[in-house]
Amino acid sequence: MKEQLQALESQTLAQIADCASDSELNELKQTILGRKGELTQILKGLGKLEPEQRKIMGQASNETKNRLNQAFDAKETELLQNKHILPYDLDLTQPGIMPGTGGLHPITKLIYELNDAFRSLNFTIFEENEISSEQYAFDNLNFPEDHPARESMDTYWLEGTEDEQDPAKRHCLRPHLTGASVRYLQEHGAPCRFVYPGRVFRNESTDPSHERAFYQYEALIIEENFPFASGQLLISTILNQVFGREIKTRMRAGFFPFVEPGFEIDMQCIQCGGKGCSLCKHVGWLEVMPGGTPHPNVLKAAGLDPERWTGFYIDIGLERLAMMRYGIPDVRLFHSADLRFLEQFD
Amino acid sequence: MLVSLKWIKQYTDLPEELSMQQLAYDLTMRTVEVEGWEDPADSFKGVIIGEIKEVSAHPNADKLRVCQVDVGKERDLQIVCGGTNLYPGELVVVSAPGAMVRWHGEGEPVEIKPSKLRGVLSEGMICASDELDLGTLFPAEDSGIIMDLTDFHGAAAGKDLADVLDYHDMIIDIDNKSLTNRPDLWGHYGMARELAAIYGTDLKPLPAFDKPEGLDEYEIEVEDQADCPRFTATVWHGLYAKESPYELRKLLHQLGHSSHGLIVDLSNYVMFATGQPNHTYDLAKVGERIEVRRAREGEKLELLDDINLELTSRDLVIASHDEAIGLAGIKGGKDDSISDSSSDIVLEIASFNPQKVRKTARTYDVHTDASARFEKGLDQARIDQALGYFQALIHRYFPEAKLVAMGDTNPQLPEKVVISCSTEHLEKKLGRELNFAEVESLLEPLGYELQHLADGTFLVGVPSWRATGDVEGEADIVEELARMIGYENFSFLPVNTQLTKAVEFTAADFDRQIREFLAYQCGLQEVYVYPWVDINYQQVCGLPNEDSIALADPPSPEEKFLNISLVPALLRVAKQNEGYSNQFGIFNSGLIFKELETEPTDKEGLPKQERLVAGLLFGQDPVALFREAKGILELMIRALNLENISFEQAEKPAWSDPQVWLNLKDESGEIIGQLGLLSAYARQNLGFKRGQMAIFEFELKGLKKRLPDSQKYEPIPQFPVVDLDFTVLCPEKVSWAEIERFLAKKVYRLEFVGEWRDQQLPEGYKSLTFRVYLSKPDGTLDAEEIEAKRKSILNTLEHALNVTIRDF
Repeated sequence: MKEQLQALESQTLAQIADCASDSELNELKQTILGRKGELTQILKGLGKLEPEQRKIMGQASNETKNRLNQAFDAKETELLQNKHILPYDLDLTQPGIMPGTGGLHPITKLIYELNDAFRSLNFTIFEENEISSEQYAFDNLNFPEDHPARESMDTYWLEGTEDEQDPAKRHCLRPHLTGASVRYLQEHGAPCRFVYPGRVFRNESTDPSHERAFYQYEALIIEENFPFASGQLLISTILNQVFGREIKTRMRAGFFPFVEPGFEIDMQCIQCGGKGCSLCKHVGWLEVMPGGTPHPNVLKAAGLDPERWTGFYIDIGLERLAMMRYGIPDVRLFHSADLRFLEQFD
Repeated sequence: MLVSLKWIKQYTDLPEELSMQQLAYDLTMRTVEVEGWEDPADSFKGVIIGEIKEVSAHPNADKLRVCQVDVGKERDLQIVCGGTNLYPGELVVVSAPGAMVRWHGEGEPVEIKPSKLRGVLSEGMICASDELDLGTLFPAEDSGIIMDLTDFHGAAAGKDLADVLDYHDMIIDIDNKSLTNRPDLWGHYGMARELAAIYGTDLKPLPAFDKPEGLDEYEIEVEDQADCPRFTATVWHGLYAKESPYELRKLLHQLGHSSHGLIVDLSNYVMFATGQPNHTYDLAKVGERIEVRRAREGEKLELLDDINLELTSRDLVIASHDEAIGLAGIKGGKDDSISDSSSDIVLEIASFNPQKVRKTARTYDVHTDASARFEKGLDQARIDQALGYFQALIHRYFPEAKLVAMGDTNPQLPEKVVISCSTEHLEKKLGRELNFAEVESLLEPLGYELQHLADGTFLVGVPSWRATGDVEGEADIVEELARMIGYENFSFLPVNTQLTKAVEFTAADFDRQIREFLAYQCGLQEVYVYPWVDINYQQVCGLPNEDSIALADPPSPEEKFLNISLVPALLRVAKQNEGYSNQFGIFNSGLIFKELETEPTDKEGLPKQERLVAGLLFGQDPVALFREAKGILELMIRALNLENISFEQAEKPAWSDPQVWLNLKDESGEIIGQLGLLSAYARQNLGFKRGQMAIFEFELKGLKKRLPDSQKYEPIPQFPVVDLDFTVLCPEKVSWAEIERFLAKKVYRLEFVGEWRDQQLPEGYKSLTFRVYLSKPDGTLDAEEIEAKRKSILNTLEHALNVTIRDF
């Protein structure tokens, strides 16, 4: 009987090791340890033994049973650990299922990125309406009375107001944002620092680099003591945010009615790094924005004393930045509302 | 604008080692943008002078000749040529292999290569002037005439054409936009002054006008001095039509102008030198008196270049014998300007009101070198400068000519503009130390006159050529100093700051939260729309244009009216994308525009401008679309912690389905928006082919944020919650809201699952499935309790609403 037990144990252990599934294992467990199982049958034979022998064999067969039970449990755990959920191999190169699509317009995203950057510099975010008056769009900004930009060729005047003599009553879709800076200053006074994103309008025919509606981003800081060389802070904040790296810039002489001194601000060509290429017309620099110290007449229009206050102003076209960032060839795509375009940036 | 470096160097000796790159950089950084430069001689690389030794017939072509040409090399070149003026001993222009030539004067330049022409080897090309872009400088009678330099001074076989023509220069292209505020730079002398200041070189003076004794007075009548602050006329006897010397013609040609005979060329030369436009009239035609006056309504004038105009009283003209003879500051008239037969001339040098010139030039679309300069505002001192220059040139080219009469309406120059400055101010704005000597050394080369005052401040006298609107105050002086020091020489100065409080919450932030919610939480795509939209979309949406604001000069006649709702614009976007996708969701946050309903409270009285947010869901199942749209709004209230919004039918949106629409009302009952399905009428009229649309639109200001602490925690059930599904037979007229009203208090939570209609239902009934969640605060519900609840629910529904369990 002892031999019988030993043979059963070693045979069963080998069979357990060979089991490939839990059903096979369960079946085996039944045939060995079940009510009619082989070990159970052997145990039933114990009664026929001498008490002395029965005690020894009883102990031995219990030990065998325990060991087998342990082996079954261990195998069960092992099989569960290796168990596949699927009855086949999943193609792991299948694409993922993305949660709901949708997203913000790439220009909106750019605005929010810049807002966040400027907010970290304690700038306020200011927004204004799209219809303004000649007073704010031009007069307050030191545009001469006969400046060509005032003519209807460049600006969308509202019907019924276009012949008004009083510039405050001559209304238009704002041709630029700068006018509203004066509104902000009139309301909040100085010192102040704010950014001003918004859409502006030009009455012109469209082509890959001209659009009737586009976005500008302005930043203005007014302080008692603000040398123009500090304006670099505003410039770098924008460009470094947009391109995610340090962008080299330079300021050079430029003329805009509302700043004095006024600058053209160039950034080192992002395509060639300044070596010269077709994008930068071989000069190594790209003109990106005007900037400068607000003109004394603009400060006066805002009710500020130009003797006391100074500051710095920049204004950048966002479409052009986005075009450079993403390599978009046609500015008209931004207002096209073509989902095949917009979804690329989600 | 193109300028010649050689010409500039007549007025100042620039440093010898100065490279063109450096000059372009310095000019760009300090003054105006240099867009490019080119040595005109570069276009003649490989183009040399050849002497024809022999001309013989071509064996295979009647019109071609075979020439043996000496080009100063060891052997002669054989060149096949179709020229009709070939003869032995002729000095011709030869494009040797490698040179670039414009074939027959047309198309892009091509490279010359040895090749066979009708079987005969040709080792180059004998050029006509057109083929070298020299057509206007060496005019040919017809295309068969090749360029004959036999009599040209200095021409000899083997010499480079560029050397023979003395063609080396640097033509610099300046961005006109960067020159708009610098009328002083619209002539070579002004550019020379600027460069002399940058490099510290001397600027040579121009010849001054020498007014001879005993001149007759020429009569000039100016109607309004505001139109024409100063007008000078000088009468010169003894001139005659004469070709300009080659040097002058070449210079004009290199700058893109053609020659019109010596007198006109000199007049142009003076303009390109000083920036002062001027005009020459034939004395015989103009007579003894000139008038400057407004044109009469309908007055006719034929300009040079055969431009016929009918003028109005807004235009300023030069007149004589009571007839207009020129458009002031723009162009001379055809009849009275000088011609080949003129011998005595009247030279006009004047200043005109810049606005007048610009408006007239724009009205008739006649833009000239003169109008471009007058529009910028020219100083009156420049008139004397131009007069002196012209006098010197006449003296040189027509030594026998005489100045006999002169008229000058305003010899008195305007008072000098003087700006008071202090170094302290300047230092503050520049962020850099500065002393008076440095200021002086930076400003004087530009023509400023400085006067140091006892109190430490000083006066800056602005030169006349900068005082016509450009330099007016201390800020302008800051700019002059900064650019002359060089912007690249200022390093960044950190910004000092005082922090008082965090930047406040703004409307812009709220707008952003809504947009991010719709985009990222609801999966809608933000689109941009114009403030105008095709009128057809507005009309189909039933939006009346009477209340709309219109553009005076719209992008197109159909896009005249500004949005009073964003819905038409979103429908246009949907229409546009319908072909690419059968399911999408879009939104826009934008302004709408309306006339003020009340009297304006400020001077401007701008129209009402309100921000709306609108969304459109495009898909196939209208019920699902509508519920999704409603769900977005319901979730928004929770997600953004807004004051409650109720949904009710009060005012039907014109674009919606007759039955499926709701208004959004705020807590005070004000309508702040709407949602609904797009009506079948609008859908069909806008030509949608497939898909249904649910739309929502609301006023941003209608949403009110609740205080952050208004949202309170609700305890989580301690014991298990049981859920039960009910499918009931429900009369069509019983709404979910009613069922909710009756059951809300009986259950822990109530959930709408869906409603169905099928054939087996009795008429007037729908099948409704809902789920209830039951719980008890002090333990787990047992089977009996659950059954009791179930019965109670059904009992309530049956008695209150005639809703019964569906058992079939």
